[in-house]
Amino acid sequence: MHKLVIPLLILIPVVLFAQQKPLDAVSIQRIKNSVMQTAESTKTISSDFTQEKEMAILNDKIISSGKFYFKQENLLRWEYIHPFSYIITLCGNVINIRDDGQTREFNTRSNKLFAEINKIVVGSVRGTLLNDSENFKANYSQNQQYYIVNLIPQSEKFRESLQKILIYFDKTDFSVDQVELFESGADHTKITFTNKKINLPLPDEIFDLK
Amino acid sequence: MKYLILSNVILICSLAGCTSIKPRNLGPVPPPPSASYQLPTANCRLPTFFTDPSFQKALFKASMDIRDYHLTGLVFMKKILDTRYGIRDTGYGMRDLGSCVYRVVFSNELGMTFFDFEISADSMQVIYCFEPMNKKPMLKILGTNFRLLLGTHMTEEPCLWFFQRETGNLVGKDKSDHFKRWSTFSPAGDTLYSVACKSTFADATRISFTQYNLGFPGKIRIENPFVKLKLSLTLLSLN
Repeated sequence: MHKLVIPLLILIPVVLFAQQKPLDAVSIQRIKNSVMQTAESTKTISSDFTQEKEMAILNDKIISSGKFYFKQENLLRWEYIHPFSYIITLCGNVINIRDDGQTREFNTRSNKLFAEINKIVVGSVRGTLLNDSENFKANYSQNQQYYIVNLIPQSEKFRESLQKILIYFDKTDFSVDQVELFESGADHTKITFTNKKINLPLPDEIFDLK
Repeated sequence: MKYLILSNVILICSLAGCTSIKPRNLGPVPPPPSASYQLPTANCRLPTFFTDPSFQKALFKASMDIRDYHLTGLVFMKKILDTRYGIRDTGYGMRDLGSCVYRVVFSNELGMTFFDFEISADSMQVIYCFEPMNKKPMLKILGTNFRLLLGTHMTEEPCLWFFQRETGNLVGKDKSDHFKRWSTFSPAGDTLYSVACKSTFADATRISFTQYNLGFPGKIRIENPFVKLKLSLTLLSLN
């Protein structure tokens, strides 16, 4: 029995550190303030991303990767490189998609589905979704590396598609490292941002696919 | 009243004509080039890309045009049950259907699911379908499309063979469930170009296969002319 004690003593702190701990109100407000300050001071973001869609029942994963660009206030370029080529850019209310060599334009004013996706994507990546208390209820926790915000849609209709969103904020700089989207079934999508470059010059032209 | 009925009949006939998917210009098969030549198969239970024992799963880049919607993303198809090799757990309990069962998942590039179906020879179970497409007529059409594509239709009668005069292609006609089906092959009978089926003009479906690589089509196109649905699949990975 005593032979198990030392490995357990080593293992238990590791397990405890990996667990998420809830946060008190003061800490939550501090995090919200820091995330907003970071969002306001972040003029541009360039990063690589890896996206994993896990289909639980099928015990399978679809993995894709590419490059992500953001420029204040509302310019976004999401470029998939592997295993397919696909680019989506958001310029205010206008969405452009380049797929299979063809470019199409949509307006979020007339396309509610795109408008909602646009709001969630931009809000998740910038962390500004935390302040959307009208549409999301937020629960806060932390582990050793991240502050984790669990956003639950307030609308029952919305919850039929998306059960919750988890946003992982790096404790060192309050930037978003990871976003997880949980669908109403057991499937979920995890997007991880790596090789992040903040506030480097980005030309507006990369957000225009025409 | 008579003119109203007549105009409706004309309208329906016009629509039926517009949705014709039967290969054109068919005639009897000419004498075989040699004594050893045989028509492709005694029955037309095709396509077999997905019923082949070696098939496990495939990932496609997909785009779907239906009415005002243009959806793009990924289609993932996986064989989850093949009773020819024993009974397996599908995740919903043990099943023995005497054929193959597949899951077909269409999601956008960001991973959000448009639809998730379980397809077998005699049914389609809707695991999830996003609200704008979750209508009975639409689900029926999609079910027919995927059952035809996956080759889960069982053949009820032997194939009748025809020769397409303008192309030299071989066309096999048979019946499956209550659908009439036409399968178009290359002149040599070794490459499947398209499969078309319908029970009424409203559910007419045409599936074409191109860009073959190692016996599997690199591009698949599914069309329902009556509802103006087009689904294009480009193979990204196989097994």
